[in-house]
Amino acid sequence: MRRALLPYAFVAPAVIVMAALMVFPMGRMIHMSLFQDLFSRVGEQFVGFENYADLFQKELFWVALANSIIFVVASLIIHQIVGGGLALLLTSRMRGSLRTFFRAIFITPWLIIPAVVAITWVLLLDHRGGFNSMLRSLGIVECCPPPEWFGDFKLAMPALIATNGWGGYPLTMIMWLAGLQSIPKDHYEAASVDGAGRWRRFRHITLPAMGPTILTILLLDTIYTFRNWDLPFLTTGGGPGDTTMVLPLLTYREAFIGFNFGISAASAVMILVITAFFVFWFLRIRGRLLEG
Amino acid sequence: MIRNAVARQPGAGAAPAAGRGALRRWPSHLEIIIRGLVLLALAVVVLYPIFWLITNSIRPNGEIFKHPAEWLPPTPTLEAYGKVFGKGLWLRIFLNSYFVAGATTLLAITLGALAAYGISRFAFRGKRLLEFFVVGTQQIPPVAMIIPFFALVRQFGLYDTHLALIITYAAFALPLAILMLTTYFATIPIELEESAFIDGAGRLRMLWTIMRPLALPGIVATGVFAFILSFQDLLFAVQLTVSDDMRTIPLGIVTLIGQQNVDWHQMLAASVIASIPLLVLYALAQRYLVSGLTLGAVKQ
Repeated sequence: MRRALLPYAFVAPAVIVMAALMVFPMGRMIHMSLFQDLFSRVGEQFVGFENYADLFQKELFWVALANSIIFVVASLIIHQIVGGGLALLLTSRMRGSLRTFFRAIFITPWLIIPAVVAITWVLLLDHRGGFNSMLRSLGIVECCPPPEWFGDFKLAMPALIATNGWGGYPLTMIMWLAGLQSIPKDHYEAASVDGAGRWRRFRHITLPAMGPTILTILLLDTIYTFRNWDLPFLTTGGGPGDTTMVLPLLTYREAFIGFNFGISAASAVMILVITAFFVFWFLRIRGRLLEG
Repeated sequence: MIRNAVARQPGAGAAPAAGRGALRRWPSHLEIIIRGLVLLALAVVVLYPIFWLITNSIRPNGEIFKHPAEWLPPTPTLEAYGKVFGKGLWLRIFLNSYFVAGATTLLAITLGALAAYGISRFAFRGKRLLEFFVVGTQQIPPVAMIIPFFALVRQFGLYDTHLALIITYAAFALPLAILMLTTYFATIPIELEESAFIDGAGRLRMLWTIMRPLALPGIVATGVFAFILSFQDLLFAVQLTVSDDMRTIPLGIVTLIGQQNVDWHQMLAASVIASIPLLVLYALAQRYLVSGLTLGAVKQ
């Protein structure tokens, strides 16, 4: 083989698979968002941005967008606090076997299939579920009928966030651990010699070194949480009264329940656009961090 | 940076030198004990939902939503597990999931390693564009493609086959696989290959004999990610398969949620059994997982 073509031969199989199975369908989705009467006998009609106009006129779209943002922001905060905190605790001085043991325990929720995560939390947060039993036996909630967490207008979103917080923090923790590992040990030693305390070492060594890593984690986590379909679908289905309706659910519902394929496609494109916006924003901040 | 991280035990980086400051940090034993207790308390909180899942799976069917419930079932029974193991269909479903996830992992690692080798070892036109392409594809949300995907899969006559699931999952695992492996390969000194190159080894052989053993942690970590991705998916499994014996585990569990009632008993037992393989996979791969994850995009 000609030498100049060699690198292309290495990357070609992966590129072909990704182009055929990701880029092409995505392009087709964008294309679909500009048409009406898709998959119908009359044949598809080009309507320009009409699907988008229809989508933006739906109140549900704005509700879903707001819910998605709440869901993502709250999940990310929980993931960073729990995942980052645990990673810091796990990298502190302790016996190796103990570290392996605790790391295995704290990673467990990541290894549970999302469908099982949803089922477990529905079981736990049912009004006759384990969480209410526990609150009762601890004497916290004694009065009145116990709350149905996923079925309550005010509690459904917090319950969904808690579920996703539990299922999602380990990934943040793993990435924090990988990032913490790559901070050279001698930085800490030098700081110790200079008499820097724990807080100052964290503030002046760990945080700056972790900055770009944290941004990468936030970026990936935003992408993964924003597109999360399984958990809301299986726990609340968007209810009660659309209080947990998020964009992926709306996309799914428009296509498979309403058969509005054009609007569903427009909604899908909005997910992509918003994700791209966040990614661009994070990359810019990260670029600035890496330079400065 | 990454090179050091590979060899080092996780966490060693953050541990301050023990001897030097020991006098100043007087309560170090007390501190270790407190930290241990905090970790233990957090472990209890994190494991509580799993505890609840397992204990409910061994309650008699009528007691699953008893309120207030005892912490431990007073009359444990393995009846639900009998229901799951008694059905040939469940065995089939479990095998389906292993097969699909295993094949996905192999495919994603093979294609990912080839591409990562190309990116990390060659300079070529369009490389920046390719990297942009890889990062960009990672952002494509699965729910945004199911309709065209469905049409595509039907067109090629792959509807209701495992092959459709395997190539789909492999495509979704590839961007992260390429990013992870490219950064991992970049940590391996190129000199190691040069001597082999003089011996006349071909590139593919070099990838197999030199890179594969050296990049093992990265490859294992990538494989675990790909395996988990395909093992956990529900969305594509729902859309691309229809017959009972094509089901994967998440779909098998979800189909127990009927229109009128939910077979909680069987669902909980199946959930517990379904969770075991990934726990075992983690136990086998945990040595490599954190050290193999050099966070693709982080260190460029």
